[in-house]
Amino acid sequence: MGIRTAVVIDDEVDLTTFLSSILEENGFSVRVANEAVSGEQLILESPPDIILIDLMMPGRTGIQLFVKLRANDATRDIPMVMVTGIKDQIGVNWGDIVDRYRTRRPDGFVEKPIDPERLMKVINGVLSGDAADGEVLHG
Amino acid sequence: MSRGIRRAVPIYRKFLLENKILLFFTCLLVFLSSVVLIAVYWATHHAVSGMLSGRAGEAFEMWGTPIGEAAAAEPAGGLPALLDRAMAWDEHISYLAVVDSAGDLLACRVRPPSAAPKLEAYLTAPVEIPSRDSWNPRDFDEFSFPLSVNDKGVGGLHIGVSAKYGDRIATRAALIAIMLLVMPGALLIGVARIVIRKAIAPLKELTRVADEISAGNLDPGFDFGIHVNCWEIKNCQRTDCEAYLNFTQQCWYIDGTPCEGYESRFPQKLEGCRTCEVYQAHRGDEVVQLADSIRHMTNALKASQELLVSSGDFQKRLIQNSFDGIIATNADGVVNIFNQVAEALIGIPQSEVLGRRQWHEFLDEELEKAMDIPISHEPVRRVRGFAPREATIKRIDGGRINVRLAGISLYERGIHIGKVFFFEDMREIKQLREDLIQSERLAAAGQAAAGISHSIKNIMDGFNGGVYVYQVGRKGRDEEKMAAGFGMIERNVKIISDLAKDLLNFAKERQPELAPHDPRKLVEDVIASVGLPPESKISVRVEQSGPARNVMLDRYVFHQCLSNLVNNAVGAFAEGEEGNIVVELGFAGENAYFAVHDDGMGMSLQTISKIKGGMYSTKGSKGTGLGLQVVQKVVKEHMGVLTIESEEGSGSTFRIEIPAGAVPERA
Repeated sequence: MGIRTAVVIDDEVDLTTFLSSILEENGFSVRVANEAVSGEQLILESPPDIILIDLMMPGRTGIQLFVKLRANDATRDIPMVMVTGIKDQIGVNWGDIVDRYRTRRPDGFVEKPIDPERLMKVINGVLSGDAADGEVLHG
Repeated sequence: MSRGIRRAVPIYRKFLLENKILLFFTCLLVFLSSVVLIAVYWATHHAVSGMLSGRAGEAFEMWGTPIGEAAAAEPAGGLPALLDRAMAWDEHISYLAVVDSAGDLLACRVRPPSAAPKLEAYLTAPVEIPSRDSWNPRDFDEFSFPLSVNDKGVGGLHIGVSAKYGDRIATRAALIAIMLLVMPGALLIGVARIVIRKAIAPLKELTRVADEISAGNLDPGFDFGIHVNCWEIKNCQRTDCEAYLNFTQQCWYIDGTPCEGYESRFPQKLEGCRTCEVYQAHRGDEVVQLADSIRHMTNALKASQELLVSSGDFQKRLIQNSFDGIIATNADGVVNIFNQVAEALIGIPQSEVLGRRQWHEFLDEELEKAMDIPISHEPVRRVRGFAPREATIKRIDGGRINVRLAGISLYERGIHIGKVFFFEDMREIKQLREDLIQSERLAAAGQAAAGISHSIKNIMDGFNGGVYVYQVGRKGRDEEKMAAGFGMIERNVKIISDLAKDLLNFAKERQPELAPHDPRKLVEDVIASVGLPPESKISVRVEQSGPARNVMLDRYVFHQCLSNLVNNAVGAFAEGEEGNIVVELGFAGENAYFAVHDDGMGMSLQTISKIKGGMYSTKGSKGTGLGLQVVQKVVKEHMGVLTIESEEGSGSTFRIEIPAGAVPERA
């Protein structure tokens, strides 16, 4: 198996450093972006195996990026894991987003504060396809 | 005479009408009597004189010749006997005097008692015949005839008749005439009095009616004129009409009768009805018409009275059932309206207040001045008083109640006639307001707690991440990673330190410790403390307008406040983006202002609204929203104002304006 690749997109530099460290320690090659536009470019240049997106980036760009990537044929099927705080989840109506954009929910959620083990459990679960159809893995 | 008239006029005016009429007829009678008296007297006197003159002439005709002959004879012996016979011939003759041609008295006879004393004197002492004027006093009328025999004058015959005879006759005639006039006249006056009384009786009745009406009885009960049945005259069978088969009230007194052309209503109805054939059949003299007008007037008055009473009742109910307390006063400040709400709130019954107490026993006397202030300058309606405001009213037990109070001064044609106060019990509203503030505080606190919790989680990620990266680096002897991890820990230490400061500043209720400070120096310190990394492409500079002056402020919290704004401005730019931040400071009148401009990403109106509203941050997962809350709190503590202007894509300006304080200008 080749090296798995990931793209981490978070406006918080320390968090991208933290997440990328964890992923790298677990054999991932990681590219990071601190804002949605450059993150999208990274993904389109070379689609990774998994994408981690901070849900609550400024201007709700995290959700916008998610919707955009899901709408793009090139990136639709790449597993996406949203990094969230509980507060971030409030006000996000995934059902509405799914219906409106005819897409599917994120493949996983990772809550802050980040626990490396929980993070990897979700990522491995998403990549191995452990989740049943429609199930979203939480960590 | 004029004085007499002036005295008489007021007396005359007090006479009753019938007496005035009788006085007139009496005066007329007296006048006529006088005229008749004079006329009859004169006419009679004249007639008698004429008659006597005639009699004297007749006497001369009868006795002139024999008397002339007797006078001419020597001696004139038979003259006295002749004179006696002549005297006896006509009793009207008072005296006869014969004189010769020389004028000497030859003989005379005087009929007592009518003889004049002078004549007697004349008879006893024969002298020259005096002139008529001297020996013919007014009591006599004398007729002189010349005596002649054979055409030869022999003397004269003077026949005297008593003038008083004519007077007597004339007087008797006049008196008889007066009696003939006065007696029937008096009778006529007596009859006239009766007739006048009868004629005036309706007026007296109307006077009685008018007195009753003015005393307040609008149903005095009177009836004048002929009662007519309108349905018969008009051949009408309108059973829906109130006048139909109404034998007690005439149709022109009934409001809204559906007669063709006369369906007018009070008060104009009678004017139209007067031309109707029905009314014409009833119509009597002016008194009847006056009575009709008075009845119509009382009906109109009754209708107005009912309307007034009903309006008054409605207003009373309105006042009593108002949700607001109402206190109204007359021009002297004495309370004349005190409704139920006022009773309940103040704790004193209306009966003990109305007409007895002054308004300032319940409201602060200082309001007197406020009642004189114009609150409306409309040309048609000028209102003096004050708009609703929070105030207190005094209870009778000495306590006070919070109310929302308004007051209006009442004027009528420019004259102050009283005041009216409206007040609403604010105790419940105040409690609700305090409950709302408390719940808002709790909600804000809850929101703050949520925001802080979120920030702490992020900070924990920073710490955990820093430790993890440091450990990974140490394990792999990767100094770069170790440095990165340590840097993460350092940064998050600062973040949590700032958070703690913000929490402290936000939570603490404190009075600002004001002291004069140089605003420029403060801003420069803030910029220095922001700590932009050397590679940052964001420039921050200060711009000062106007002369330098110290400003009274609490340096510690104001530093924090400006730091938050500058940090927010830094956060408006993306990582590595080029940008400009200008901190402008200056003075606007007595106020000092600090404005932080950035040309970063800007904010939408929705975002501005959210950040003004509470704990909202545009910094994604990084922000607590607490920073801006701290800014708002500090500005408020300094009695200032924070304004936010922003345009998406163009940048934002956060401007604080605070009173500069009474600080002397720096040299």
